[in-house]
Amino acid sequence: MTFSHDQRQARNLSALLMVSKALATEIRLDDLLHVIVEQAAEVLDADRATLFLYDPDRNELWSKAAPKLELKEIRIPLGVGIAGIVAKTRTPINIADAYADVRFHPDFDRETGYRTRSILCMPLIGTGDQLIGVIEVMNKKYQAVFDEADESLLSGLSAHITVALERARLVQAYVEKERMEEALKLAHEIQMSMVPKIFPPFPHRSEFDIFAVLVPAKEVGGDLYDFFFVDENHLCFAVGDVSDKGVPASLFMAVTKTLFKAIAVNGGGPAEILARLNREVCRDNEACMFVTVFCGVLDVRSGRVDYSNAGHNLPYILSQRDLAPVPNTGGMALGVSEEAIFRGGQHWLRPGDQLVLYTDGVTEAMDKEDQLFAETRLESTLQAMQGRSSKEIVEGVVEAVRRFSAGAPQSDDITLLAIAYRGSQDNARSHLSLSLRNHLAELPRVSQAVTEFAEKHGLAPEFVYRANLALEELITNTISYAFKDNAEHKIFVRLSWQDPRLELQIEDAGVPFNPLEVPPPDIEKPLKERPAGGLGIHLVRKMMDEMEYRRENHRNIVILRAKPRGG
Amino acid sequence: MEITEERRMNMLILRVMGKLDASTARDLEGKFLDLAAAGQVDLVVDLAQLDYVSSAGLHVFHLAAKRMAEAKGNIILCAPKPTVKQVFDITGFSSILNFAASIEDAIRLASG
Repeated sequence: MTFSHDQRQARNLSALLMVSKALATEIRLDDLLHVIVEQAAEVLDADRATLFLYDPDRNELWSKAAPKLELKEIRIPLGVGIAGIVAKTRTPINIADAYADVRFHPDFDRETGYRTRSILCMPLIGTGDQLIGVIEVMNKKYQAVFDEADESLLSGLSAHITVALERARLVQAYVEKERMEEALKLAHEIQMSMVPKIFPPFPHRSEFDIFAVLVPAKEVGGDLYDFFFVDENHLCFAVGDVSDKGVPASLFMAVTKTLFKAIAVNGGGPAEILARLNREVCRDNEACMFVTVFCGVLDVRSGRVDYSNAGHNLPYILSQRDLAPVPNTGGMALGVSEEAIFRGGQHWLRPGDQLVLYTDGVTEAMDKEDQLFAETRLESTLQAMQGRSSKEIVEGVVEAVRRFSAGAPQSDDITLLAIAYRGSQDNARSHLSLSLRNHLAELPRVSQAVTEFAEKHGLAPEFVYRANLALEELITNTISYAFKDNAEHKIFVRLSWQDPRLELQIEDAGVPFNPLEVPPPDIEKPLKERPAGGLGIHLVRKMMDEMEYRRENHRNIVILRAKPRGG
Repeated sequence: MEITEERRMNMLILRVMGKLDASTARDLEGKFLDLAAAGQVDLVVDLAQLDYVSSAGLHVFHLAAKRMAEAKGNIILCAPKPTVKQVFDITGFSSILNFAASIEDAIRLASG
């Protein structure tokens, strides 16, 4: 069958139009490749067509769009075979008889049993003179060969193919980016849906004030926080940080947080909670992720905090006196070893004290010169905000980090959780705090303050006497023996009255001294044999109902309790 | 704390008033040492107006009693308030120091 020149021209133009329409609608690269080779073969009356794409990383041509071949993927170095030479020289080749041409490699024919006769091969050059690939049509039908008209037709077609391929690649890159952003959005949503975000969370509780924030990095870091009451008086809280990023981290975070709450509501101390959580996390941890967690339980009546740590940054205690991290209890991150051991620690928050938990996204935030925000900046920021509300403290630190980073990208999640202890909810409770110098001349001031405090609450003189005596004995002891230098030191005294009980607390940073370990004196001995000393602690014991001692943050803390006696 | 002296017959009556704590005990200790040095080793100490005593005060009485006893003298503490007396009781000092209910009793006791 033959065509006149005009007929042929018309047919070619309509074929070109058809192909370009098909190419214009196909934006998925894989589908587009099929359309190209099918249309090219048909338009050019070729037995088959092959499209090779250029892989600039390996400087090779590759093709997987050879539907009639069994081969899944063909790879050809530049300069080898007809397609390789066309790609390298960027010049079309038209061969009437492949086997008569030395440039032809008959390997594929041999492998597939196909018999190549005529070949027309054209380079595909994109914008910026970039090599996109080559298109090859083979075996003109009816035993004919590819002529000049075919060359111009394929050349026209190539322009369309090039545009379509470039567009498809752009679309693909866009789709991939979209998919990645979708994934990050998902991770972000998973993470943020897991943490409590309503503040104040317990508006009816006045014993403490809590605030937390999680500022996710663009590439979600897997931070978490949580808090809830396990019973009427115990608030459980935690902050954690998953070792990975993105969707896997957010899922791991979600699993950890869910398990944490399920375990914590059953009661048990933080060390026990972490040990059980660790076993659960280790059980199905195929991803080999791990999570650092600091967990605490606050008794809102007394301010006592039981805590345990699993490889997390130690929270700070911000008080009127100083700022210090809680003592470490050891303990490695969860998910590392099922055998890991977790120990418990205790700290008593006094009214006005703040506990501040955070993740390393705070301390490892960087500025544009790659300097870290670091503990020192966190500490000075916290110190400057002593006495503020939890919300102000959390937002103050976030703001300080933001100012420090000054537009440098946030590489990790930033999480902060602050708890301000306000004291027992009983409004009848009343407090008096005194800060003394380590000098005996301060004693009248103590007795004056105690007497006024007692009068205010209508305490019996007998009771006031006992309180004054117990305080004097302990304060005198501290002044005389606690400090081994001649410098001035502070002694903190706190009285609180909650009918019918008076609580006295004496705190100093002197040498360790546990009054509970002082043996009772032998008060039966005659005058001459009685040793001097040892009577003070004995008196304290007799005057008070309870005595408690603890050494905490290099401080001696003695707590005395007593109720009025007799009529 | 305030200290006054009164002489009845050949007995010296020392009146200790106010608060006898660690910040004032040294003054009383100084007074006892002065008296001992002057040979005044028989004393009646009137505690009727003493409002408060702590272990620091007890040590002073203990020290004074030992010192006077060594010099063949005697200290009699009299008329402490119940709250003050309780401190002597708790520490066992009530049984090793001499007490009298009133100054008159104390003088009688010292003279007898």
